[in-house]
Amino acid sequence: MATDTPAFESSLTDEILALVGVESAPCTHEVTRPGIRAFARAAGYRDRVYYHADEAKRRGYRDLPAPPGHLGFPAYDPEQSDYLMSWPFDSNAAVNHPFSPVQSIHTELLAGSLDLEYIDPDICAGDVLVSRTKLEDIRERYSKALNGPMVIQTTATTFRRDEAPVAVYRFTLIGYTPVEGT
Amino acid sequence: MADQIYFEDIGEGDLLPEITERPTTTQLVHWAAAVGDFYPVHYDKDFAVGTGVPTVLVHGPFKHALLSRLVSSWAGPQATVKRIACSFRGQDYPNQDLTVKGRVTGTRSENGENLVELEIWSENESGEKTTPGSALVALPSRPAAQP
Repeated sequence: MATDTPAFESSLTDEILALVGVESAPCTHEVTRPGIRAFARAAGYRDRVYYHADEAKRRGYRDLPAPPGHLGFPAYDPEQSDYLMSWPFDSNAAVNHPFSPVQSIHTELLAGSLDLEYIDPDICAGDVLVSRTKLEDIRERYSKALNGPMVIQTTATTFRRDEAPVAVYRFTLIGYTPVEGT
Repeated sequence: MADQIYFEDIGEGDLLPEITERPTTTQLVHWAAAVGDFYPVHYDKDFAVGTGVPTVLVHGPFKHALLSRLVSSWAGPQATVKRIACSFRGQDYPNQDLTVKGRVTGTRSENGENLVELEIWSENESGEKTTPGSALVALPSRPAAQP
């Protein structure tokens, strides 16, 4: 069958492809009152429940509830955390966090998709969640828009509280190298 | 505080009250700090242009959060947001209107929950869908009337 997609040599080695199914080291996420207020403020929420603990408790929450999408903040460690993305990062690890799961030959990154599924959405200030990121899929294909190949990595990050899963954060990251004139 | 909407009161095709934001670079900085995402394409124009885009980009997860706000604000305080998913098909830029919209695509009762399926999306100033997605919400039943 004829195709107008240029041929290209894939950068995905067998070693990289074998990482599908591999999980990262754990990451601790602290759900805090300042963190919830900052997230709610940035997303434009005006409901007092995200800002005032007394209002949250009056409405039956344990403390400030986390707005949908907020799963705490990675506990930052200057020795171990990714300077730009704040999650733990180990260049020797097979798989890291959702925003840089597998070392890529491409220089630039774009968010492709985000699918957040709650198992237990009752997440409040004071909770400590622990996540692990699993590489679910990695593939490379030619992008007409980018005028070159792009690597698409899909990860599933499961957040747990006291070992019980509370949410799965499924993220797709696109890596590409800019081509002059694109 | 948002009003409560009940499962019995909604039907397929119902539209959610849309929300329009005009994210500024200041708001993007708020977002970056709130989630710890300091990738420079979202605040450094020279860096952004060097990657081949016209200017700094609105964060994808920020748009996911706006869609989440659309859904949770509509659903009310007694609802449970169970899933929010979206694809970042088009780039959005600061200082441009970004409108999030949604409509009910299905309802069902399952395992004691009143579930509502939604189509959700964002539109840019030209009316192009830049972030199509879907959501699943559990709504409460309307309380029985007192005799």
